Amino acid sequence: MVSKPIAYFPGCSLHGLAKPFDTSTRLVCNKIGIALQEPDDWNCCGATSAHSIDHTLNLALGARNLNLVAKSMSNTVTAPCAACYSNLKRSSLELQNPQKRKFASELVDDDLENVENVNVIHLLELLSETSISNEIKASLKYRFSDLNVVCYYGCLTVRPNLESDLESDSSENPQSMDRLLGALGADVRDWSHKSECCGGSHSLCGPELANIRTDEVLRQAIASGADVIAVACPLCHSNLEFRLHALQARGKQIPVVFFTQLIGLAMGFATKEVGLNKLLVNSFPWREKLTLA
Amino acid sequence: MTMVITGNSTLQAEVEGICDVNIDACIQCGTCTGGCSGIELMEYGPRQIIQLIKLNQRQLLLDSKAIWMCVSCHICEDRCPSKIKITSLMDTLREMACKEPTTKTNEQIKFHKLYVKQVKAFGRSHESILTMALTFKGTPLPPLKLMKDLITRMRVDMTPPHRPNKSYRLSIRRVEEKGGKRHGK
Amino acid sequence: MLNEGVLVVGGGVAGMQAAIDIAASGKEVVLIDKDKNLGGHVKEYGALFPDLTEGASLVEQKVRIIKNNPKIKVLVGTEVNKLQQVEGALKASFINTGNPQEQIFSAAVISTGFDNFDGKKYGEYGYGRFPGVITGIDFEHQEEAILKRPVKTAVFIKCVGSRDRSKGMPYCSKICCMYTAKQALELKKAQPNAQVYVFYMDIRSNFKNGEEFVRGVMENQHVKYIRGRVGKVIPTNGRLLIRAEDTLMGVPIELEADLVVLATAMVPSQATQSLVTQVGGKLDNNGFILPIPMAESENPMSLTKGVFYAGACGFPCDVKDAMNQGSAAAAGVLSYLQSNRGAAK
Repeated sequence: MVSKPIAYFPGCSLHGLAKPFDTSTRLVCNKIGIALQEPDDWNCCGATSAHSIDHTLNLALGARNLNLVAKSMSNTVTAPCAACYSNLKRSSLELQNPQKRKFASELVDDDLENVENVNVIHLLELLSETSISNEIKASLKYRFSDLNVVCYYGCLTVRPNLESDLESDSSENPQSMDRLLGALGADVRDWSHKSECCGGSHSLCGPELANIRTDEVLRQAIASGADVIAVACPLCHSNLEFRLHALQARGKQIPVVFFTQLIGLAMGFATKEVGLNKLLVNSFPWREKLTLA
Repeated sequence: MTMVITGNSTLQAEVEGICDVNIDACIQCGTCTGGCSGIELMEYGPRQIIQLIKLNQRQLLLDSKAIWMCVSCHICEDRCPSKIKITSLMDTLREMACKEPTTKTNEQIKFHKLYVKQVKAFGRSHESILTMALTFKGTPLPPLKLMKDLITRMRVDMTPPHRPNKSYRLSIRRVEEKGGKRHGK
Repeated sequence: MLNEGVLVVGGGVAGMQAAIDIAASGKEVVLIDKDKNLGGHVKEYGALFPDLTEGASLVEQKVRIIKNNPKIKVLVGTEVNKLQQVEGALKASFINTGNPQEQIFSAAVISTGFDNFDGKKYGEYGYGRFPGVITGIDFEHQEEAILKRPVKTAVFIKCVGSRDRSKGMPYCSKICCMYTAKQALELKKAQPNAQVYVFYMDIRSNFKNGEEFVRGVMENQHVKYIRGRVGKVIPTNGRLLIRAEDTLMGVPIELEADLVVLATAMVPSQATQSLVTQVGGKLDNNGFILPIPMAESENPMSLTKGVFYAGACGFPCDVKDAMNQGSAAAAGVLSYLQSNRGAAK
């Protein structure tokens, strides 16, 4: 068992449309002994809107969240949502600047002690740590066979990408999800759009652009022979799912799953437990793809 | 259209005063535009936006559609050989445009304002309430079939919105008092 | 007792030229290279710009001169692991066919060359992932095969690793504009119906006949130059979709190609650093040799007492320049030995 307390920032989407991401993340982490601690009263990261039109608000939102982590038992926070992760990381970079930190501390009425030392990692990074990924491998009950997967990281699970982040995934050809799912026996396909943008931030305010982007991602994913698209971002997930739904009559239907759902399934959880029944494309023969490990 | 240059760009100084970007580091290579996720609907790509800042084209930029078609994907910034923080630059231009009384509203401004309002009130966003609020403001509802499929799959958040504690509400009040104040790069 | 032997570390064109010129005056030279053969990178190049001399034949000529001069002892497959100043001389330790050896020299030339930038660092171009994406160096190595394989459209991408403060090196590698034009020319000559595009930011052809060469490639071979740095390469329909901006038009463009050639940068070689620091020399911020300021040295290739350098270990340069530097370093060595002998008497 890993037994490592870690701050967990689910973000707003995981309480709504991406609930299965939250459920499966908690199941998987619990199984291998990672104690996820959700800070009380965390607030929205600001999504695209706060940093787009109100920088002061964005700074306060980020500082407040990171401060909750700084005061918790762990100085590392993991976010499964790519937008939350990217925003928290941007905030943490911004708060390295003492001038900004001072201004932010006035905003949130706290001295923000140690806030600059909070380490922000995406859930993919957490689960890819050697000891944890070994723990995952050791707890597998099933292996996938004959399952072609493309890993869709989206733009923000790997960005902003810093030179100093030698450990982090290369933003143009990330590997962490490929390795995690490869270890489950899935046939992980390399493809061109691993970390391209789905246009998700425009899905509610500019669907034309979002459609151009999602169509391209879906086309490339299907052309690379995928049966399943695995994602690590709730916005990528809903955006791709909704687009497939709109194209139902015309295009190939392909399940878009959270990578944690696949890990959970291979660990022996039921399709319902990991929330695969809640997907819009929910009639995939998962059972047939699993063999005892 | 002739752009008359009357000395160093005051817009450049203004932008650089807000965000940590050196506009003069740009080598005009076009990598940003070549990989831009919003380019199909922009009248100026990121490279041109940078050049227009140098040319002091404040009004043109703040009225542009391009700054709102940026999806904040960070890809341009990631590939920029001059390490220009283009995402922060776009944020800066958007915020400037938002503060400008002459800026006409659009779908994105409407959305962002609504989102920010909700976050200020609830501390978190609430998809169902946000969707309803958007509809109220004239955005078409999602397709009925989609809504039905999401509801039957228990994907729609029916819980009441989050109630943030006092410290959060205090922070928001301070943001509103101090908002707009410059606070260094 | 003064040993007048001279050590040359690195048997590329710069080192070979230095060895030839030093030995021509009757001095003993030991020319060491870690590779199995002399000739460095150039032995694997096809035709060289601008006069299309074959790299291999140039190397053959130099090797012939070296073999015919008994004053030059060649040690290939040998790596110098220690080079130290000892009482006005240089003590070198090296491992030759498994045997550690030591030898005293009176002067040395460092001509350790360069490495090629790893094209995989640009994940967006898909080198090593997408079939059909190669580097300019691969083009040289597999020239015959590449020219024979029919292509409908080829795209050359310049400045891959050069002029990039983020993923690559901040400097211009100097020769890529020329070798890209040369490769485009060869492709057009071999396959006149192929459409060939070069994506560039600037065209730097500052070599003798360089500008005329590039103009000729455009005007006579009709290679199309597009100003813009490519954003992404996407495998599509069995071909490679190129996404870029035509920065002169200010519009995004797309085109499908069968072959994508990345003009990768010249980067400092790993071997240079340890040798240079051992003899008290310095490296610049990029890892190339930091020369002594011009007004303070007697010879332009002078590094420290009795040690000179030549070629791309100092900074990216073309073949001609590397040989010029080899000759200059040889002149420096000879004049150093001459004045040293005077002092010893």
